[in-house]
Amino acid sequence: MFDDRELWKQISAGDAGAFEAWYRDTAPRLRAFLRHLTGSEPAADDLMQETYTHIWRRPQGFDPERGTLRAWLFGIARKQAAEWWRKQRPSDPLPDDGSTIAITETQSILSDVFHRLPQDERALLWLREVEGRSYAELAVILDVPIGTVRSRLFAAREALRDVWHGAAPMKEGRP
Amino acid sequence: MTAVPHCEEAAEYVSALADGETIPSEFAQHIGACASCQARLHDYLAMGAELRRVASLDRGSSLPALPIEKRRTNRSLWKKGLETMRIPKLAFALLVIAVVALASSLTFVKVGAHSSGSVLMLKFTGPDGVSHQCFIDTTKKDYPCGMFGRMGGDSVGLMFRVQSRDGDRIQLGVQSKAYPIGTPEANHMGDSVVDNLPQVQYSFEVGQALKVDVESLGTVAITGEWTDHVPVIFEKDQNHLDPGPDQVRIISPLLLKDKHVIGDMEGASTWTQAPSQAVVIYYPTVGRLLISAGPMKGAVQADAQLNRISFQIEGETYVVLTGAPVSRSEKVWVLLQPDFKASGNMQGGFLTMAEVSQIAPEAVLPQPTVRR
Repeated sequence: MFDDRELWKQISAGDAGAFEAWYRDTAPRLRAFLRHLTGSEPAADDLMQETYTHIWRRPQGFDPERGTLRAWLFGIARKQAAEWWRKQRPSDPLPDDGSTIAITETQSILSDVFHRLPQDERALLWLREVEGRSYAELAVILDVPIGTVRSRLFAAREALRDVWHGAAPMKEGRP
Repeated sequence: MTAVPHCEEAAEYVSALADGETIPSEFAQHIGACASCQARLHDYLAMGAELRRVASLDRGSSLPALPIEKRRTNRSLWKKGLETMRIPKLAFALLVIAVVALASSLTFVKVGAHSSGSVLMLKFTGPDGVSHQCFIDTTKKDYPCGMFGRMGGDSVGLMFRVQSRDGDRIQLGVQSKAYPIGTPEANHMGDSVVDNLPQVQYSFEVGQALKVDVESLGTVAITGEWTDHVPVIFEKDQNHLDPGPDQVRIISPLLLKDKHVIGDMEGASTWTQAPSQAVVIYYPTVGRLLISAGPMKGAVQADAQLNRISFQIEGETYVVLTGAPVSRSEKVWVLLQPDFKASGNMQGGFLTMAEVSQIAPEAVLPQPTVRR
């Protein structure tokens, strides 16, 4: 566990050791988040590296009054992933290099269904359900009011539930 | 009388309930008595649990190493300088901040129009008639250049980006902002302000003039030339290694304490021109360091040898390493203020220069009395 203010002070001052330790602590979950957001392992790894190098090179913008360092990190990664999606042409198939996340027997139908949700809804549900981000933190990450977080979470859950129950036709897994 | 809610109205509150939020009592009552809403709540909770289960399976391969040994970017020296060259409020009025951009007779090769030069040297002149320069390497992605500093009575932020190039014709993206000196906004001019501004597109022919209107400031005239490289050191009126008289010149400083690096201001540069001035370096973990060619109250005398300044404070040995010779003199004065705390967006560190009397009046030595 890290004290956000102290850690940020060290990172801002160029303490590579502190940054490396923070990376080791946070990167596995960030990579999982990005993998489920992009559906591609190489893309997730690239975006994860871009996220951390971006922070290392430009250690600005984190405000401890507005949320935790981890929430801020996931917010930056979400924006990187959104940018990645924007650069994918609508006609592009998902990367078919054997790296696309396989839905194995140990995973589930819900996981498959989850990947068919729009990217924004996937990000929101993941941050809430897996990362346990509060409404206030999600409001900062998404840059929306808390009331909007609640309504978007509801919409995302309904979309997932509809597809899960087979009550609605599957949407493409594109933003 | 409150209307009894329907399932459609209650559904959003079912979602909130699944998140551990409290909800209005009428919806809580409805959900408690409604099998459909309870089924929805059950689904939401089950979906969340399933997602967490899937996530728990997803902790596989080892992490790649990050290239973070040095805080180095592939952007321009000027851009890197921008990030660390912050402006202490007290010093702002005196700031000569366009330091990095003010190149003059540098030894780069101007390759002229219709050539294969890939670096665009932009020269921009404000209403005050003072010209500034910066460089964009068009072969690199996202390589902006610009300035934060004073133009006439305004604190100005200007940022340029080459969006596309067709021979000498380029599409130039410009972000600009100006605030009158003395306003609170002027004290916080920096990349955090300029980065959020809309980018205005201009069609610009290298070799011809372009006029850009900056709100509240006036017209900035821009010209460009192709060059063969981005100069390593930008410095006003000086293109050699020998510092000027009474000058203290600090380029990309690294601060060591007992042989350990305790502060890095990579890419930022500044210098003084008179003994009454000081280079001001602020590292958040160290405090504020004033380095001057003239003595200051409470300062220690330091050895200035080529590109390093060595001194001792309270038994600790410090060295400031910089990218070029520091001073003509072999002695400079260093004042460390460990309790100094920067405010606002200067908290991450800054490098600038200022009159000592303005930023640290307590450090000004009394003038010797001349007996007649």
